[in-house]
Amino acid sequence: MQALVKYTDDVDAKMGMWLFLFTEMLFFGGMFLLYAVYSTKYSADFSGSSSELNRVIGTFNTLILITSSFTAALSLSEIKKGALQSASICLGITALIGIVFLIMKYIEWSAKIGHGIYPGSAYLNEMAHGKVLFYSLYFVMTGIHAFHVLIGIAVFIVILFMLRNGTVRENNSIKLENAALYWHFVDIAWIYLFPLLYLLR
Amino acid sequence: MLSMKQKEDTRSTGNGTLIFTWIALLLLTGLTVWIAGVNTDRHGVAVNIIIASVKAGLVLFVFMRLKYESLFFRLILLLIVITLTAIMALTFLDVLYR
Amino acid sequence: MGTDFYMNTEGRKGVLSWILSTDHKRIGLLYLYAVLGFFLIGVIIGLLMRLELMAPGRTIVNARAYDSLFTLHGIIMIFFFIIPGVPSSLGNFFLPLQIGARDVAFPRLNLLSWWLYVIAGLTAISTIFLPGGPPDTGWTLYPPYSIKTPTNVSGTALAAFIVGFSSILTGLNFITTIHRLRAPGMTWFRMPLFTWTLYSTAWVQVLATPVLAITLLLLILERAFGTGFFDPAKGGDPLMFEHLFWIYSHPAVYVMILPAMGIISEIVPTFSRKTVFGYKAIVFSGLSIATLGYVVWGHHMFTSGMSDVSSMVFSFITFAVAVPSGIKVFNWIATMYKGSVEIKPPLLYAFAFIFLFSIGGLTGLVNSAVATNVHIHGTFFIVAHFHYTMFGGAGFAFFTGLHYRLPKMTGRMYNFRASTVACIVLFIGFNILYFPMFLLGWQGMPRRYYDYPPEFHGNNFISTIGSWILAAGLLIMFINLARSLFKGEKAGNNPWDGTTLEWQVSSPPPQENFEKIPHITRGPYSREKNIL
Ligand SMILES: [Cu+2]
Repeated sequence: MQALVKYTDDVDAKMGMWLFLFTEMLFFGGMFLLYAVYSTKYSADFSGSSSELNRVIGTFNTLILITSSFTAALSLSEIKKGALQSASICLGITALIGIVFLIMKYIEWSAKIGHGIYPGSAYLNEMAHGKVLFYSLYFVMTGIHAFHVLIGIAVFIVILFMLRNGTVRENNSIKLENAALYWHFVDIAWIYLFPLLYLLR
Repeated sequence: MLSMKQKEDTRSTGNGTLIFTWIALLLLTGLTVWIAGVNTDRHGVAVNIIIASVKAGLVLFVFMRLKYESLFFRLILLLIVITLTAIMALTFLDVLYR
Repeated sequence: MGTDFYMNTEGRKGVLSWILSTDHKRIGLLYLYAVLGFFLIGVIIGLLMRLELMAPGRTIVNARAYDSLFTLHGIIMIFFFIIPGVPSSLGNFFLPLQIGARDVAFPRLNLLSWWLYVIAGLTAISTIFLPGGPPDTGWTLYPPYSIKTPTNVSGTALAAFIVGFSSILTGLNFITTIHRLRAPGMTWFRMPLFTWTLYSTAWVQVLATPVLAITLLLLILERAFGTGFFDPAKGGDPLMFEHLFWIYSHPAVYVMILPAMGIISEIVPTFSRKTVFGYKAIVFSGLSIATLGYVVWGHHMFTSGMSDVSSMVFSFITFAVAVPSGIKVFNWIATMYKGSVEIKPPLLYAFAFIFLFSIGGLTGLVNSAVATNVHIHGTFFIVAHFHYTMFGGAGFAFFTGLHYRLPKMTGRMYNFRASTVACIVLFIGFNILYFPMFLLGWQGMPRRYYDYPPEFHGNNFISTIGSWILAAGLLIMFINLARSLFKGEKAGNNPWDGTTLEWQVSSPPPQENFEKIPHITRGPYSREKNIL
């Protein structure tokens, strides 16, 4: 039996990735809908709780995530030029920044949890309804986002290995391109989360 | 269609454009934090969401190379935006008038 | 002709050559068997429910067990039979054949979809045996009750989440396939109507399912951590769950019915030996059903305490959906008009579909008017309406598709007499089973109760008798189809004189579908011969 002829190309793969990202947008859209409704209903509580978040860490994380998006784009541009070495370095930096992002997130979450603020905690449940919902949204939205960051880091590490063994190379960069697309989406989600969660006041 | 298959897209965005976009994104982040600091009413929030959309647009069109992609991709993006807007609008029709 | 795809085992043995295969035809058959398996489970649960309702008072199960029965029946039938039913089985098998492609765009993703589907199905079934027991909330999983019940709501939600992922992957696979892999000359308006409806369906799958995924995830988090999003005690709004749930679940109705309409739109011209009437009207009505279907979800919430303004708007848009559906029925009938209609089993099943679906559609108008809806909401009227559209509609269309396409899939023909008998028995049983429910609902019998006052006894009794007749019909139909696999005569390549591409290849199709990718020069229902 002869093997199946390869009949698809990179454009197909990229289209699949974009369609997947569109579904991701709607997935986050569901949470943004909840956010929109509850922030309208409890606007005072929402801006009150928002000012309790650590704005310095939030801003720092925004800046580094944008930077990692930049290095991911740079990695793709380098690999298309054939500069495999610098493509690897850019990709490595991207993954490292992702890890730093998660560490900062961990510090931020621990501080809140240390104060007894987490979904379902007795301390939080005593507070006003708007605050309960804000903090639940905060933990769920940043949590799901962080999960996406984690997946992204794992994918980048796999691609780094593929760059090493030559599976991903100058004229076969679609895996890197799709991974970068995914990472940019994760960045975009954060670009909206940042003002909605940290900058209400 | 098979006959219309494009060759792998080798156009690469110049590093200058990427760096410029990166700096613009950082500056917009700074702007958004500054606005949140001085403007404490809900206008500040609205402005910040608009700024976020500009940033998202930059990422989409430059980093994600949407400016090079076929019209189809941009149309679907539009479709998603319309879909989300419609869902929000119809839900608020309930929430606001209840 | 070369070897058919059954002989191409890709070097694997036995069952492995199936469950690891990336051939869209094998995956289509895997789906078919899995989907029919879940259908069987759903049918058995349904029969048990009817048995319980045969007489007032406790008949076979108590109230608690009955709650679990209708919940499982709904979850299994909706998420594991009717939503994936046609697109994943018949769609997977025939989409590449219809557009002249060798496979779908992402064959490995396709196999992953099937695996996710199976894992999800096992997760759903496992809730029966796990501590807490099967869910008792109804398939809609409405909070606040779904937050409080000790039963396995989270497991069920997880199962639906996973099967949703599978559905999304199938959808994006089909969209990419249709955009990128059509044979040369296969322009958009030379695509067969079944492919067109798979395309509309795929978009709904891709655009709506993510909303269900996040909703279910939020419900799981709510139960695990007490996030409060849907819990009024914490300021949350249970109506937001209903909104999010129906933002997916109404469009999902079109995932169920659009491919069904596609099946009928192919069969009617084939057996009328005419080209289809109003090809473009059918295409665009399919697309507009998909679009409008996205913004009518609120008609499930008229009695939930939603604002009056939104009730009116949702009611109005819902009426609008009836227009494109009506266009389709009109086109089918116009296609048969003055055609030389040959009544063979597939067409017979298609007639049953058109009749039952029309009743379902017309009673849908009764539901979409706010005033009448308030009267019948949550009664057996809804149950009857729903089963006329989903079982009489989507389910019968699935049977129609099986009778039309199984000879191509297996290369064997079934017995016509037996399938005609089965169709008549099914049709009679169906109406005896579900029509009394309209009456019961109109008289005010609520759904989801295991008991009822004596005045409802007569209709319930008749309905239960109907369920047995229906089951007998299913038995005859499936035995006949299964028998054809072993004892059927060779079907030949084109038993129905079909005009679309899949009828031009051998039965069963060769391993890579086409020896040479065809060049298309005519429309899908044109009766000029020889494209290959
Ligand atoms: Cu509906």
